[in-house]
Amino acid sequence: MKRRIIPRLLLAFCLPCLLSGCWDIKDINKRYLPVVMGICDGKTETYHVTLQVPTVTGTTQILEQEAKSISKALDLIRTKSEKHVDLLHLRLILISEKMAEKGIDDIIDYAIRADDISIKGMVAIVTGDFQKALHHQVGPTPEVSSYDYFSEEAGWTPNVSLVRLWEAYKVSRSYTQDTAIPLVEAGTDTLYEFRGSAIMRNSKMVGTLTPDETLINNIFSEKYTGGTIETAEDASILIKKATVRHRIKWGDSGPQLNSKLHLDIEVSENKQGLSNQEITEEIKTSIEKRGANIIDKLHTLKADVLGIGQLFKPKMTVAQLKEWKERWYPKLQSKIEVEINIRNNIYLKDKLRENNLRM
Amino acid sequence: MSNLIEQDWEKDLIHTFDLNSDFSIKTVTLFDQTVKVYYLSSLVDLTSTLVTWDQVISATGEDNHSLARDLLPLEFTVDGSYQEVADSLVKGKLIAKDPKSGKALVLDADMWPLNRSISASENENPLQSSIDGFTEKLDTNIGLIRRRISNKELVIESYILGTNSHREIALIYMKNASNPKVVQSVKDRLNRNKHKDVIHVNGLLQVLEQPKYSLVPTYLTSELPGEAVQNLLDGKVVILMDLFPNAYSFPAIVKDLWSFKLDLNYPYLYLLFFRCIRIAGIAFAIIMPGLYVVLNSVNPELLRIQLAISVAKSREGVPYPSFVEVMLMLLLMEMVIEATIRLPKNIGPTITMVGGIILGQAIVQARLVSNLLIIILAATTISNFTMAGYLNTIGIRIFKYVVLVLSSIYGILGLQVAMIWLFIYFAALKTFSVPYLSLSTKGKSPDD
Repeated sequence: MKRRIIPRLLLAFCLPCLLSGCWDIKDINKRYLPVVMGICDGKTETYHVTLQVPTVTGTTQILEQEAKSISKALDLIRTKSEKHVDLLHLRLILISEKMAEKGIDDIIDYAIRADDISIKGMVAIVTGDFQKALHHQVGPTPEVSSYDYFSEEAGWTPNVSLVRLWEAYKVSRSYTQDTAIPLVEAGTDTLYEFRGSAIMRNSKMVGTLTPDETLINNIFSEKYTGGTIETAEDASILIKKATVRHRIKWGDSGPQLNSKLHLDIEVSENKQGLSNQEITEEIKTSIEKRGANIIDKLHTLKADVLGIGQLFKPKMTVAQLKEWKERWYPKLQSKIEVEINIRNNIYLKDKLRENNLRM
Repeated sequence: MSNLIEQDWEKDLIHTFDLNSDFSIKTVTLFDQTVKVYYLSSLVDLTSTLVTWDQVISATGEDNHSLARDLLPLEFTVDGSYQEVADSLVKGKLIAKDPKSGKALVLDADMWPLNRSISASENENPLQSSIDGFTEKLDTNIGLIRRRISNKELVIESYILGTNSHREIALIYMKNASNPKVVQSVKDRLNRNKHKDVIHVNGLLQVLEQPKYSLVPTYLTSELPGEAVQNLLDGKVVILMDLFPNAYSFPAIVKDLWSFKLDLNYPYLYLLFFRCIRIAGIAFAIIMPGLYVVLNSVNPELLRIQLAISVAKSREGVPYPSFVEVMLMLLLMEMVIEATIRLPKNIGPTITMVGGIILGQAIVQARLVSNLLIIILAATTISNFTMAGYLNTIGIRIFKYVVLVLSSIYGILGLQVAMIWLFIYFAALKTFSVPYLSLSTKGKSPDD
């Protein structure tokens, strides 16, 4: 008798193990895998949620719903859809400009809370016609191209800012940092036109950075994969590598910042045959000027997009930390110094070229 | 005259073997004496035997013959019991009745040649090495090994196992290379279980007290003397069984899953390359079907979105859950393998062709399974057979189902658990005190 009891008990113990397994799984062809989620103001309700679902035939299916909350909207979409809606592959959250001006805290908060949304997903703000940007019909592979636009492995360029969900979440909880979320508009010949970045202050959109300014922002945060063309008056160059060194000081008048930007560049066009030194000078002045402009702009908006507050964190008391954006940041005295190193100006021998010019 | 009186043993013998058509009783004349002989005509070539005897006996050239004494140089005379006589008869000996004493003499006789000659091995294809394979005759096999190792450290011990049917086996090892503990424990078990009948390999394993259920074999088989010799030099104990053209090397270790001993006939870099490929093959064979289910139904978030869409596309319209789909195809594949293994060579291609049509195209077109699964299936099967040794592949073939089931229940976690389980199992295996996860069987194991 005893011998029989043991296998039976074992079997009985095995059953709960089986029950706890993934029996409620759905096969991949029985799921909708939305890649893009668009959120804007609803006509009657608070949110209008749109999901872009790539279909196996290569087209895009759009699922839409309005509701008082995002999760309710998704729930209603799930109810009406014929397949399971699975947000695991959601890579991009598009938010309308209007919504962004009101604040995106609740959206970011929802996305972080929802355990099926990857926190590596990206956030962007759509200016102009929101519905047009979502119901696009452009591109040979429409299924994932909206995501590809921001993908560092695909269409991303250093001019475009890039904010991931977790970054947006982190910044939205920070005393010393704000963020610039990419700003796009429905394009004509491509999916999106890049319109710069939205300056977010405490998760509310307060202004914009132009694409050129965004580039400086990217250089500042060392987000660089190379290959940006920067036009000086008569020459254009490629920035190969950017490194930033900050020197901070907390004086009597408040925080002081000295930033040294070191750029490794390559000359790609040189119409007037300028010498290295001339190019260096030109680029240096141009970038320094732009940097100063941005900093001025951000000071007036009281938005610390460049994350300068982070640098001063060790020098601040908790009280100072709390009033960084309001009190100290506008008082910040900052100086940007640019160092240029020309790696390649196409001419192997500089002197030879000068001789040629003289002739 | 005792010659005329039937002895007890004769009566018993005739009684036992009367029904056999090849049981012969003849009266022959040896040295002017009439001798009654008993033998099995299917085994013994009487004419040739008598010729041989004549030559031997005329060489001794004595008068005053005593059959028992004269035949001494030929074999042994037994004044034995009936049981011994009967056993000798079925082994192909010739039983003569001593005309004087009436006792049974067991004589070595010439046997019909019932062995095939040494030829290329049938089931293993050696590349870049000698191609002769073992035969069914034990002495020949021992000879094949002896010729390859001219070393006085080589020990060949002979055992006869069984009570009802006797089976001769040879225990071979290198005194200087093998682990004495292993040799001793093999010997102990052979002595302890001497009485057990050994008809097939399973019997041998029982005699050696090997576990009945074991995922990976505790021994290696090979038809190639080259392999057996290298196993011996590596410190393994080789057992040869009469009538089996295989050498059984004990104990197997994890390294044998990917290393053919004949790899040593290649430059070292090539050897490393082959072994890496085989290790990758093992991993593929175990993981692939499970991974397919994981990616398809449990954790599709692990796929890139582009891949996810193309996977979904290939599964569009497939009616079953992916677990059923994979099970179906794997079982079908196993059946194809099983069916082709023993078929005559002129029917085999039919199965291959039909299997190819079904597995390749038709089943996809009928939307019963997805395209991708066919690729997975092919990859699994091919990688499975990259492993060293046919016996080893079977354990892995079985284990992939464990991985499959666990993966379909617990997803990627299940896959990991299954792999960890496999390694824990390997770690717990011990054959003749040699842990399975050791990388060498030479000399003493480190934990001794």
